[in-house]
Amino acid sequence: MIKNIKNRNEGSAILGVLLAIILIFTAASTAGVLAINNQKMSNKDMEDKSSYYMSEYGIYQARVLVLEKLKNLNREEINKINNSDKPEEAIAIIVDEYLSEKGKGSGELNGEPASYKTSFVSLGIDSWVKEDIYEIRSEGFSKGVKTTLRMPVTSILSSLQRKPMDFKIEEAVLVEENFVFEGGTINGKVGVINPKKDVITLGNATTFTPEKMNIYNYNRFLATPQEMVKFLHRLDASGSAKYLFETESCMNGSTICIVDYKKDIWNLSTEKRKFPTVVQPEIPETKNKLKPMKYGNVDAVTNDGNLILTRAQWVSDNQRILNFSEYGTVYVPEINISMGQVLPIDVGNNHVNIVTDKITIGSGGIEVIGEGSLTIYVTDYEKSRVRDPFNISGATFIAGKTDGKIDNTKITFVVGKHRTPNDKMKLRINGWSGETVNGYYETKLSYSLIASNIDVESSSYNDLNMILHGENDTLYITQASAINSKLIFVPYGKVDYAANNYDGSIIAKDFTIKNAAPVITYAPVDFGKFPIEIHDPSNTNGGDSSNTTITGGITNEHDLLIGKATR
Amino acid sequence: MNMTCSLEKRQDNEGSTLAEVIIAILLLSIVIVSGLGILTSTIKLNARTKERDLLLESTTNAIDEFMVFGSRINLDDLSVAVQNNNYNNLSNSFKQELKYSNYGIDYTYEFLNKYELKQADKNNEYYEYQSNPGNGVVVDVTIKGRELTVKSTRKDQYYEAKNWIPEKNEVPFEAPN
Repeated sequence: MIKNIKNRNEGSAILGVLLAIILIFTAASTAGVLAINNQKMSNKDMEDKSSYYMSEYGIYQARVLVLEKLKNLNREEINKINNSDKPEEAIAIIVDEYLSEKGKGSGELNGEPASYKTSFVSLGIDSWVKEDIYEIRSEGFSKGVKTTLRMPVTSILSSLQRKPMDFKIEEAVLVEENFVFEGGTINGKVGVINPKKDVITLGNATTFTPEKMNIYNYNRFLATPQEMVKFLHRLDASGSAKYLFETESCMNGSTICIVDYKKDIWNLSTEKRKFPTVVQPEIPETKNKLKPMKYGNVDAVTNDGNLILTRAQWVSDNQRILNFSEYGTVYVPEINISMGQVLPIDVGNNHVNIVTDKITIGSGGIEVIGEGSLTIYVTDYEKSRVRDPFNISGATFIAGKTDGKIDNTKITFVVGKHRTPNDKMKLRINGWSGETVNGYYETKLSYSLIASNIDVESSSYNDLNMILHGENDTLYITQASAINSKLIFVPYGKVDYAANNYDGSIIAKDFTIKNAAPVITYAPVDFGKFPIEIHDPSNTNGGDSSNTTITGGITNEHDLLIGKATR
Repeated sequence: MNMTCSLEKRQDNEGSTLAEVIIAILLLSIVIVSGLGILTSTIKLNARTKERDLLLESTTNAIDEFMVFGSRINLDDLSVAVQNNNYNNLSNSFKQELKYSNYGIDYTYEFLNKYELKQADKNNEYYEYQSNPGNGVVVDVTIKGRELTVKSTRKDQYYEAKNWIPEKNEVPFEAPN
């Protein structure tokens, strides 16, 4: 019996051992597999995070680059968009090219370790999306793991700067309501859109030699020439009493003469002329500041980003130029130029905006270099808390040049709206009025000004476009002022003009020309050069910006709707 | 007859038992050694994984925090606030945002306490921060322009990741989980 039991137990050791081996092996391999899996998951987690961050890296950086490009479209790119049947695609291609140029879009970031990279950042349009809706896409890689993020962007095309709405001016003078012609000469067409009764007044000493005179109001003035007399009056010799015209031709050999109006004076055929409306320019918002720059051996741009040039410097031309072509919109807290210093600003092919709280130009000024243009926005009083934010009373040189010729559309100042009729901007453009200015202090004032309530009191040379777009703004140009501008545009206000020769167009709600000296001669005006949007209600496309010509990049990134980055 | 068979059988079994025991011991030794080896490797692997997870967590926390604060606060102001460990250095608009955030204020205090400013060069837009979140991990944060680099180091292991701090409040204001 004992033997049998013994025999049955023989060989059980190996079984026990095998069992133990299996158990140990199973336990060990399970632990090993778990550990390996844990590590794999950890690796995957790490690569997921890395690829996600690289994708975020790409998309947030791309966002900056996309906005940078959209603010700084050059003329060639603008032409591409304008000439394209699919402008959205043209925009996407232009932006993609820029992203590629900056080291993105087609490959990994330069200099990054191979283990992680961001690539194929692009601004795309999917076939299913609606018009003017885009997407910034970024793919982040970490080893074999890829994460794609998308950030929606809309309204790029509609936010680009545009030309005025086909608004063309053919008149030397275009007035909405009140036209008082007390003296001077107008060579060109005159249009009065909605003349008030008894307010088209001819002065006693008027010589009026229009090519034709159009009075546009089809409801009230579908009239025979005889009815015109109800609305045209002239002053007597004393300048006080008014009486109606009674003749169609020159009267009594006097100085009052309306020439050749028989056919053209009532041009009531098909055209329905309407007075333009204006969208006021907004001051662009930016945190972008100038980096400190030298001008000769002087810090022209200080550490605070101010543009200060108040010491005389004699430096070579290539040292003088400050390169702004990289900037789209830049905030310069203060600009102060004096001592006869002329600061050349190279804008390249771009339209550059400077936003400043205060600008003071004594003797000296700014010259724009390059094919582009410069707009200087002077913030309003409430914002800047600067008592006199725009002071160029002693300036002798503010000019832009195109092909070596002075071009007063290359620099535009947009001054805040804080001024009231009692707080007028007094433009004494030339501090040496009446003197013969020569030598170093060359007087070349050539710029455009968008402001409100201006008195131009004295100026020996004033190549100045003036746009006053506020309600009831007033522009008074006295006899002492010499104007050599192309545009006076005060659509909601009043202009009193008593200076001498003026070549261009004057557009105002109410307009008075007085004294014998003024001669206004029509010259064409290109409104597209000014940072202001003018709509022509006569145009059937009025209010629809899609058919207009793009003139520049976006001025305000808030016009775009940019969504959150999502997978 | 029965007796003879038993003896023969016994003799065979006795021989195999010795071999069996030797093989068993050998196998057991091999398995135990292998098992110990696997166990050691597993423990090491787990420890390494935990360490990597620790580094990953430290890095992602730092990235998330700097993405949140850097996208809302001027980077120079942020460096001053961290340096002075002072909540008052932050802008009013940011404080207002904190006010309407469930856990924003605590989160901000925690953030300001956690980091030490090592270097700040406002002109070159370069900032360096460091923190020691525990477990021997050192987190180095570098901001150059808007580029954010976070490197967490523990012993001989490190994990580094990059991101780009947006200028707008595009990063959701959320405290870490």
